Amino acid sequence: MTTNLTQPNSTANFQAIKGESLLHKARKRFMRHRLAMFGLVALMLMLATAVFAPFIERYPPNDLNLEAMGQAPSAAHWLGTDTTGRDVWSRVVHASQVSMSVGLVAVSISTFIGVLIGSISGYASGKVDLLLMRVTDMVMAFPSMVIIITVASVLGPSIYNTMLVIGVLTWPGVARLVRGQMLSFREQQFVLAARSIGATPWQIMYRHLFPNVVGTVTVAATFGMANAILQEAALSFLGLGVQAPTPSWGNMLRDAQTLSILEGMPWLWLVPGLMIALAVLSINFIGDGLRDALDPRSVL
Amino acid sequence: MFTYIVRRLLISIPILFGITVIIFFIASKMPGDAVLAMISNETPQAEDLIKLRRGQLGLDLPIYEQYGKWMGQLLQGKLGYSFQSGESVNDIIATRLPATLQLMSVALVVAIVLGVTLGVISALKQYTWVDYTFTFLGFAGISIPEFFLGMVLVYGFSLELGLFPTSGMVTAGAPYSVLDNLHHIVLPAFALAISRTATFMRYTRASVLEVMNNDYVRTARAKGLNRFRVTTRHILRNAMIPVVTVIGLSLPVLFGGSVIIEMIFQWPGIGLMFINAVTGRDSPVIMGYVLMSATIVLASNLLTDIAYGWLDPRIRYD
Repeated sequence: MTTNLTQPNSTANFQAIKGESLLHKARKRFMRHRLAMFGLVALMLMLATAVFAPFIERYPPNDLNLEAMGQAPSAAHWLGTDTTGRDVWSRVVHASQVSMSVGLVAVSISTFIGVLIGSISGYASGKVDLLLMRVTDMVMAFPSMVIIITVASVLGPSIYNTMLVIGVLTWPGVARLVRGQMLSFREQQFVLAARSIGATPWQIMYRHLFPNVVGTVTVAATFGMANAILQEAALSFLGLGVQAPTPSWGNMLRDAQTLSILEGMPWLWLVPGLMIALAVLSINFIGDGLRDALDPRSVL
Repeated sequence: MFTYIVRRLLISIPILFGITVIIFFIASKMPGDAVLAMISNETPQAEDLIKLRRGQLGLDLPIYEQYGKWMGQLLQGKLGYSFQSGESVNDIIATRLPATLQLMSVALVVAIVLGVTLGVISALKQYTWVDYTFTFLGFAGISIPEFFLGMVLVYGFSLELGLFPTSGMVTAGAPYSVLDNLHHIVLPAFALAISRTATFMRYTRASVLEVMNNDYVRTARAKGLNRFRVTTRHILRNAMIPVVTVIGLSLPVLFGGSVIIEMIFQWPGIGLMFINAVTGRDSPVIMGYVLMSATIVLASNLLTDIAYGWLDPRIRYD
């Protein structure tokens, strides 16, 4: 879907106005959303940075250089060096790998669980629904940051645990959303029609109900990825996420918490912090554009 | 309404029970061990001491018996004793909760006042540069991590300009004064409030836009009422109903956010206590805190629903 959205609008659109598909319309609406296009470009740049980090770095990100400790930005070190002489530019570039991969994996886990539980709950209804929704209520009853911190401290800090914790604890929102939609769609006539010609529940779910929730789930997953990146940064900031020496924007901020660094070496923490904000902002813009494109009825 | 509240409270009982099971299970899987942290290997007869201490803390019992003991205490309203300091968890929470509540309530008031005002302005000026600027700032507000914002505020307002203290709740050693307290709360409260401000603004804007096109608003305008009166009496009162829900649902977010803000500003609340307990593997304190936070979420959800029904007579819970 996203690959479709990134393609330049082909001229074929203008010739075939009569039979314009929903996807075409959605793409046009998305392309008109300026902030979303900005977000898309920025995110693509960040993904490219993450993928090609070894070619963009100027020094190995974990190499200490005791002759160049705590240097301000210069031609040799674009963003300066940290207290052990590591090149900040290279670390920021490599840290984008962490944020992007944690964001993508965590949101994939949570979307998978959320869609699975939500659709079973919404389609099956009755006792199954009641049970699954009580479980959802329980997970939702914890403030997400509190339970994420607790579970992360139990599992121990590592990048994989960070993905797992965020993914496994943030699905209830999607589950409720999907359930609500399933509940309303399953009463509609196209489902009745499918059932009357003998479609099995699995077929109805897969062929008739899923396509209808794809839009909502895509939007929710986009915002979910933005949140996952924020949560990873917070966990790493607290020392419960990605561990040194692997650089992550969050743990770079953690290393800069003392007042002397805060005041004397702002290059150590300003750039990683701004990168988190930029990444999250871009994804939120994309989410907003997708919502306008895929779900024009919603007001927010 | 009364039956609705009773029913909701009854539903919360199995949920709360499930929550205690989840919390206990998680805490029992905690790696490392408070006892090992307390007794050094160098101590003579370390092994015997460890065994003895485990026995005293009840850590040698099978897990279901440990849960039973904990649950028994809980039903009497006791959250157990800290492994580290030996103090009762109830006391620890009671002494530290007021600081957190103070921080949260100031942040909430700031967020409501700012968010609603900006949201209304944004809606009234829809599709002007004012609206676009606020919308952009709103997105920025939900995208900047709280801890980074906190660091920027400390850097700018404390270290560079010297306007506010960098940390703490009051000046150490000085006699307590409200002014001093307020002086300390400005930065942390603002850092905590920003993301909520942005959220409230977005919802207020959407809600005002929806109400603005109603017939009764046009009637009020046609009668010749001035803009301010129409905005406050006819639009805002109706537009605030959905916003109240968002405010209620953001209490847990504020609670979670206070953990990190309290750490950055060394604010002596329960969030800071929780982080210290996590580092110290102090499971009774962790369990007490997590259980309390879950209870707060359930309570604020219920209160939000009640407030919703009370504000909007069209909504009936039966």
